[in-house]
Amino acid sequence: MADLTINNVNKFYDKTQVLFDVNLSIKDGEFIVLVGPSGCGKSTLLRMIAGLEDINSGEISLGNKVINQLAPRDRDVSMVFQNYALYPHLSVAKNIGFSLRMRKVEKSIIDKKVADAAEMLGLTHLLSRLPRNLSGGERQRVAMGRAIVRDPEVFLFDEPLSNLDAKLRVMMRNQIKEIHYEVKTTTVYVTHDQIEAMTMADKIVVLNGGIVEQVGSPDELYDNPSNTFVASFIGSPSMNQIHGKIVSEKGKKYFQSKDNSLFLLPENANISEGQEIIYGFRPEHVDINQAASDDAINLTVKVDQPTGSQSLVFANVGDQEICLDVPKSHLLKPGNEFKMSPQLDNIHIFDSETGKRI
Amino acid sequence: MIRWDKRIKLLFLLPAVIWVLALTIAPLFFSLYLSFTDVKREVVITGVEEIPILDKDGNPKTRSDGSIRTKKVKQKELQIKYDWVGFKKYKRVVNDQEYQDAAKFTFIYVIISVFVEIVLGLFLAFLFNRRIYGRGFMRSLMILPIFATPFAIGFMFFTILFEVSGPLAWMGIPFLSNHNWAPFSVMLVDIWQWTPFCFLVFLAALQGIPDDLIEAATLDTKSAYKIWTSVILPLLQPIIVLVILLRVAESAKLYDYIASLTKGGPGTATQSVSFLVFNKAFKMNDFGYASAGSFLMLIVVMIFVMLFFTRLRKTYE
Amino acid sequence: MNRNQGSLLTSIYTIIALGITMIFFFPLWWSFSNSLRIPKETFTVTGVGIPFINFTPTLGNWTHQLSFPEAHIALYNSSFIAVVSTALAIIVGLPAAYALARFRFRFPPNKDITIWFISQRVLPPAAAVVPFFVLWNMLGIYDTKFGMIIVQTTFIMPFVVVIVRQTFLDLPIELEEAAMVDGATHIGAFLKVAVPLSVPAIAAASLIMFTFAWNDYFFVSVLMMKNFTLPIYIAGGVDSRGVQFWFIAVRTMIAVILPLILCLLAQRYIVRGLTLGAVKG
Repeated sequence: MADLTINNVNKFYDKTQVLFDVNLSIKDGEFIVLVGPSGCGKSTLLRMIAGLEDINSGEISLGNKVINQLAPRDRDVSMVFQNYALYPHLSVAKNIGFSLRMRKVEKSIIDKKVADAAEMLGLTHLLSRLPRNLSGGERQRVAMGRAIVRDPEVFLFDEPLSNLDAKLRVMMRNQIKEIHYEVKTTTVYVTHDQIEAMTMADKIVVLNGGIVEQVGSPDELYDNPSNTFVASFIGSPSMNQIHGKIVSEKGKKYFQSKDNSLFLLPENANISEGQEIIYGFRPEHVDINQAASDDAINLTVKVDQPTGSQSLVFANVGDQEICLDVPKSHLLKPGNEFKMSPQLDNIHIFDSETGKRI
Repeated sequence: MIRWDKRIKLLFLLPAVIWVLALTIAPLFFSLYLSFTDVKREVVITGVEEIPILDKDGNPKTRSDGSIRTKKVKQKELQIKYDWVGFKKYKRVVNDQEYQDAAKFTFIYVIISVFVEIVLGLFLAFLFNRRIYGRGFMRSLMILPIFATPFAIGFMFFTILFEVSGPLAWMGIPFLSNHNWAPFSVMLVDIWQWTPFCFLVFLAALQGIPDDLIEAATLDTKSAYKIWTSVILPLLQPIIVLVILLRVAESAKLYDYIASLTKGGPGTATQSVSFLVFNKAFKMNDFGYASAGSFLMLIVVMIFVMLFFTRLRKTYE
Repeated sequence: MNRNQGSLLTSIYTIIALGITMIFFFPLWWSFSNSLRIPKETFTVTGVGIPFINFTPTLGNWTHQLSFPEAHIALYNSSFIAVVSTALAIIVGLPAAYALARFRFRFPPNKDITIWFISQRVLPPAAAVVPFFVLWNMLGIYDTKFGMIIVQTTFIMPFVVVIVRQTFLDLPIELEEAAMVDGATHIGAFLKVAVPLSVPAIAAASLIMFTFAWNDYFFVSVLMMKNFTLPIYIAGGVDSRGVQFWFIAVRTMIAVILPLILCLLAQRYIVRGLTLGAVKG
């Protein structure tokens, strides 16, 4: 078992650079999720780890060994592809055992390992079928079986759940977590779905435009996003972000939005009067209609979207729309006025030019 | 794309490239050289050998006196001499009435056959694209000629066009004996064999046109003629052009039908360039003439193909 | 358009199509019918020559013709040359098809290499025939099956390259990537994944190549003498016997029947094959 280290890695396609000085260190046994919008370079990075793409500069090492120049088969990684890439001409058993046969493992050992993997994934009754006779979820599990049967140093997953329907996706998320808990193999998992990232990862790497925006545990990313991109990418619905500047009144610091609404700021905030900032708060971190609050903002409900016990309420601050995730109430219907104040402990302030957290 | 080792790339591609290079480009250059030379093939007798005459069991036959019967066999060797003569052969070929006639015949043959094949093929494709009974079966019968051995087809049509007692004798047309009719008979064979090919390609292309496109057009106009000229033909145009290219290149090679159906006759009425080149080389031993003559044809076909080069590059993107 | 009118139109179209189909099928039918006639009846048969109605069929011509050793030699030579050439073309051409589908070449780019392969089929073979004759004599492989196989392989190779190239292009590349991550070499991924998945296209390409090698007369007439193949076997005899329909019919049928069967087997791939991969069909 070994750590996976990525050092100053750059990638070009012809003249376009798609990855910029990526640095990551992944500890043995960790479950890392690479997340970002499409085209951010996450799949490219994964394929570079697998050896399917050249590395233009920098180093990828597994343990103490630099693996840049190794062919995919010499890297001791296994990969689950987005469309599963099951060999259509081979049975499920042959698919799972393919890598072992390639490595000339003895037949009896292959049979044993294939049987074990099938058992773990509940595929035992399907072993003699061909991939085309399987459902989407079953194919997905065969692809996983093919990866785990070899007991590699690193698992690589390339958006493995994106072809499944929503319900199956939740089930498979659990199954992948369970398997990871059981085999404790270092895992690099690529997805564009931040919920998948939040629910599965030990550590999330947010990529955007080929740059690593932030690395951290799901909680760190949620509580302390290091910039506006991470703030809006992680969490659903997205964090509200309002542009404006700092003003002082009666000895208190306020955030003044473009339409002159005033939002109270925590006293310890490290900011000076007149500074242009982006004021962020998550939809779920607000108080509604609390009598004691003098600093609350008056808003009018534009749309409400009940989600069960909660309700998503949309309103405008100036010309910016904000979203609030609040307990359902008959008072919050379109046209009604209400008072809202963001919770002081959960306010995020970003520099309006760089987008960096202050 | 997968990260591939450079050596692997070449390992996959090079054997085929080397094979084809060695066996086409090299002979072509040799042929080019030959076209500037006078080649003399001489069979030289290098010696005489006495060998025993064998009976049908493989034992030497003996005379009554017990001696072995022998026969004398001349040992021959083919010797080839090359003399550089510059453009002499080309001049001869260009000025040769026989070559001019062959070129003219080949040219007319290609134009008429390909034109008929394309038009008839389009018509048949249109017909078979309609709802008709037994389409699959008829389609299978239709395409049979494509793979039939061309040389054998020539003989087959020899029996069909036979003027005395063939099945078409009642028409009273001198299919093979009249120098005006014979060229058309050869074209008929080409048309018979290759119209099915054009038909098959066009049918595949027609079936590839999405139905809703045609339905959308029927909303605009009721005229079937208009739908054809404004929707279907423009969509088929790239494929028609490609089929023309392939057919022209292929029918310009004309040799097999002639060799079995008319042997270039009557007179030289159906002598194609390939047929003439073959005869000059192997019946009259004039390699220089044959090389020069075939090179001229190669150049003409190459110029024609080059006209389509941009389109071909798009096709194989 | 009401339904009656529709089915009436369908019937009219069907009759026209049937008529044309019959015209195109007639030559093959006539030859086949001729081959079943008693030699002296060849010229006297009426109608379109339907066995049992217009004449009493016999297999005598077939058994007679097939009993000659020349027929066996010709059949054997033609089959042997066609089979070996096809196999060789596949062994050499398949990796090239794969290379053109999967790798990127810069100088010259893939499409130009592909077009260059295709040009073997487009340019007139007459230009290469004299040098082949001279070279084959020099190399001592004139009038040998070996020499013929080399030539045929060269000229049928474009088929496997362009037909299977397209099939490889249509295969998802992830399969080969998965194989490589799973421990296969490049060549392993090609042999264990790409090739097995392209078997139908390879088979169709083989049928087409076999037919072209089988049908060739031009190179055969230049490079073969005693080692004759079917076309030469047909020709031999016709010239000396004059017009004997039954005789020509049997011999042409012997040559043509196998290609006709292969044509039906390879139906689905003919368009792609004969348009050299340009129309998918």
